[in-house]
Amino acid sequence: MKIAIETSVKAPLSKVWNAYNSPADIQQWNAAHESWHTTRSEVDLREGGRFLSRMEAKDGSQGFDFEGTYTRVIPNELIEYELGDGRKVDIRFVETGEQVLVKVNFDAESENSAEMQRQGWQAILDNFARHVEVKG
Amino acid sequence: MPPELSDAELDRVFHALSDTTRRDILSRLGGGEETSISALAARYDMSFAAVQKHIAVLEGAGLVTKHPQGRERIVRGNPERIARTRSVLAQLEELWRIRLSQLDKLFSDHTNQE
Repeated sequence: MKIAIETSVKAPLSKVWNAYNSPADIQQWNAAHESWHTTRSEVDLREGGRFLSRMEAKDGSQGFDFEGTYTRVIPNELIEYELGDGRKVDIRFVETGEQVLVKVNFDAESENSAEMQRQGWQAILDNFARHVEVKG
Repeated sequence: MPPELSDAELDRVFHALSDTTRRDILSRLGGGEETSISALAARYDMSFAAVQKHIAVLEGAGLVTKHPQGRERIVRGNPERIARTRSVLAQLEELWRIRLSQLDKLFSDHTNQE
């Protein structure tokens, strides 16, 4: 089962694309909750390239790596990647007037409810939109 | 300290520990280090279903817990379960040590009488 989420960002497409893929930006937006942050980010944005985001609780009590492999990259348009458990994810960047729609489709896993998964992914995407707009 | 582990719980713990992959998974956790199920699946040369099964065995034994975090399912170690298992082994060791020293005493008393 696929779950779809999206956000719209008031910023030029190139800025949205760059913020989504640059490690310095990822460290600022990639967290589902304010008590977490990304302390390190590696991005090899090409088909077959890998990404890794080191996620840690801000109090240092917990941490893990979020990592995967890019399977398709079309600049300013599309990213597809696969996580280690085989879940596939695609992200589309669609320019609509002065905004960019970022649409994410991801394979659901079977252990947690779809609603819980949607919330987790949406929280991170909302953080991304906020980060780009504040950055200007 | 919470109550001791039941025999059924101990059986599950030792069964969970009797596998190289599962011990390897445990060795990656601890000290606040967690791991995502995705990362574990990528690390081992086996199917995702097989990795999932190993995690389920560890979870059933109370050695790890799972919870969602953002885009991932996270596996966290439960050090308390290891500590309680360790105390079971320590008790066994102590029992043997006492019996051995009693045996030693018996032998030395016997020798002295001769």
